[in-house]
Amino acid sequence: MIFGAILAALVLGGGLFLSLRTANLYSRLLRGDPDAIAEKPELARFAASVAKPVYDRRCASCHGADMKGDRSRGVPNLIDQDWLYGSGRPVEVERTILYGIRASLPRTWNLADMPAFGQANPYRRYKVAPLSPGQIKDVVEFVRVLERKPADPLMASRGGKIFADTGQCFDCHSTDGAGDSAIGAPNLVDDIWLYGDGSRQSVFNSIAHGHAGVCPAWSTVLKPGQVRALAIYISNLAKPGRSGTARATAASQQQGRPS
Amino acid sequence: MNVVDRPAGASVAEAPEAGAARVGSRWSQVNPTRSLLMMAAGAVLGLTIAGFGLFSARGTVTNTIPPEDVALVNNKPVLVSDFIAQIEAETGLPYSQTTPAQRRKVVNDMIREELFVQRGLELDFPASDPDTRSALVAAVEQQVAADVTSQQPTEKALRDYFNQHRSEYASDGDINLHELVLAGPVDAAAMAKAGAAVKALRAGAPLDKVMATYGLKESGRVSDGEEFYFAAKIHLGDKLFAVARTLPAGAVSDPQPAADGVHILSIISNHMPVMQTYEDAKEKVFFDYKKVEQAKLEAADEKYLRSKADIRLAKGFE
Repeated sequence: MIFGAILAALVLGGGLFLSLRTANLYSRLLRGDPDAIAEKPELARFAASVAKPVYDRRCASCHGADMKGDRSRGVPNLIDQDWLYGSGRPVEVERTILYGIRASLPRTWNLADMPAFGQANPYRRYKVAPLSPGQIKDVVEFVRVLERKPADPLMASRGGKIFADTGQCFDCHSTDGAGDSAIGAPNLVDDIWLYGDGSRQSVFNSIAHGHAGVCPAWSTVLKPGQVRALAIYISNLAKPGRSGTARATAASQQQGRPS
Repeated sequence: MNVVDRPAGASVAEAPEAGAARVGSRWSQVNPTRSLLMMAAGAVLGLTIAGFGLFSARGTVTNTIPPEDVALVNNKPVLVSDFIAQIEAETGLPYSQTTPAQRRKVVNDMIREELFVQRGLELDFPASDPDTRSALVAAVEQQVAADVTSQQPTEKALRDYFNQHRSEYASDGDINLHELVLAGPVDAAAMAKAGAAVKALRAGAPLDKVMATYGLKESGRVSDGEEFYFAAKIHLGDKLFAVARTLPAGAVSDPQPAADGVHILSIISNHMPVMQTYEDAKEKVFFDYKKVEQAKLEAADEKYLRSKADIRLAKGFE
């Protein structure tokens, strides 16, 4: 009788202890600066244990179990250290998970699309003139020059003018082709491709047909603790050994801001 | 409140242990007066709490702020993640580098926003403000679509869809041509002259020479080299484009009468649209498939909402 009571007390006590500990970890995970959590191994481990099943259930169907994405559909690789939006800090990843990309929510990332220059009306947001196949081929050669790949110099020269003028490519990809992670415009000089393999035909298709990839918003589906854990998990896997704080500092220094 | 009766014959000078045991046993006995009093006290307490909750503006409140929130405004949460995004957007600094004063300001701004949103709901702005209504509709659509967006269709489902909609998957056609015009009235003489020019071109005579001989000029509408079919159609017009798209590279059209003279189309290259393979069209198939699935889900959702709603149409608007 006494033994049974002690056992029950131990089980209840153990259960209570575990519940309180989990609640405490969730609380610290949610209240702390997300960028600093990578420096706290206990919290990072806890985040990974929460995030892995969520990733497998919700994200792996598109980004793949290996997190390498799918370039045939423009699904980004999450572990290549190249970020379409932001610099991969947990805070930024968290925002993408919560509100998605072009997900019809006011807070979603939705500032620009890749126009379809091979169509009569290439862009839904404002007026952009279509390009002819020849002009698109010229721009393709210019993009190859940006990547330091062999290219036709005459075509590239014409393409450069289109890039900086009529095509308005510079507006998103910036004049040096380095992209703009504030609006999700890919870097064109790093040989990392979101769509296709970077071949002439693949780049031609992107320019002619355009792109507007979508990532769903999870704010109404996942719990805040799951979202935070997922953001930290993905951010840590993408850039192991470098904390979000370090990345934040580097990012602000890059932009000439005080750190 | 003394509801314990002393038993007859009990001595005041009894031992303390015996007295305590007796009191315990008395508390375990049913006492109607005590029961009624406790029930009344419970009812008063319950009514007091309910009354406070019902008649105070703040309603039921909690003193515990969940860890995912920076604040609760009338029990509506202000998320930590939104707060961090907001402060980073306002200051341009990573959260770790923001000052307590900046944080306080942003929290206050967000509380203000929440208060105004709540007031907006009280004033029923969603009933009249188009932006609010659009945002609500978009949010519901997005929620409905979330499952479709996040689910990966099977390869078989995609292939089946592709096979059912094969005609929609073709490469873009593009064409490069000369459009020559024999300007002037379109009469028998003009048609005969244009016919002779066509004959010469088909025989392999140089374009410049034929143009000079027969007085032809480039229209200038398609002089930029290759054009996608849509652009050529806009430039040539439907009738001439219908002629041009069927001609292979090197072909010359028959004379085509038009309002400004007789036109001749000399085709340099014509890449007609070709049916794509599943592999080539995979990306588009994927997005089209998802679009259709999303539309189905939205339609089902709307049907459900309509079935649950009480909708009455005025006469004349059925």
